[in-house]
Amino acid sequence: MDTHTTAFGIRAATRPKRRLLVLGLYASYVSGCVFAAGVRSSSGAAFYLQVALLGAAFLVLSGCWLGLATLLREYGFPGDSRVFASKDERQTAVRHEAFVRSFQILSTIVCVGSLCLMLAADYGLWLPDRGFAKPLVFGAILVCTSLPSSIIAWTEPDAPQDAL
Amino acid sequence: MSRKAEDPSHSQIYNRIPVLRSERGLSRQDLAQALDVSYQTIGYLERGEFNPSLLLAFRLSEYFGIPVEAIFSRKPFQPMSVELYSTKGE
Repeated sequence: MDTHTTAFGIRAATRPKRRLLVLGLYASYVSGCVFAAGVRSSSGAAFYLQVALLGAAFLVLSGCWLGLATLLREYGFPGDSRVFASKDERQTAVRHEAFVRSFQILSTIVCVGSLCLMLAADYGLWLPDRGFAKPLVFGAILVCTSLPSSIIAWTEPDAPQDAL
Repeated sequence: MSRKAEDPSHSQIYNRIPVLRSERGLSRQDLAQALDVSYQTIGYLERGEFNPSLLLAFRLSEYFGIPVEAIFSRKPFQPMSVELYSTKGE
């Protein structure tokens, strides 16, 4: 079996490593939002510390996002040595299922979020201001672009060592 | 025959790919390369965890040179030795 790895080591990554990538992606987004809020409110040395942490969170987020995008789009599935292996019908079926599940999750988020915003506006409850709008939009882009890859990375079992 | 196999809504498709493959001395990787699929897909097919499309079923049939119904069935297969050499019921 061909077990050479990609630049990201994604093709041979075990499921725990792939799950770590998914957790790293969303955890770095949340911590990035927290650090960004800290940058706005702090001054002096604390400001530079928050900027450094924000940069680190951004780097982790970019690395995880690239890794997941590589897993799904460029190099095929874990254990598969072929590049652009989209002709494989099982992998295509798994991808389709991931996109269907992503649509269900995203439509639920959009529906629930819209309903909450509508009710909050009607009853004068808390609404996100300009400071929250940017992280929300960035989060929406992140979820839209990474959710199918994340689902596959999370659920796809490890490549079995049974090529023979 | 099991109840599952009699149920028309039951989607399990049984196959003889492992037997045919080992008869010809092929590895999963060899068969996967011949059919242009991942060797994992061959594993999923053999274990009955993934049902192939008609196209892939016909490609397997052409590759092994036997009819599709000799490779795939909705009912569990008898062992080949029983089908060929059974003396019961004669």
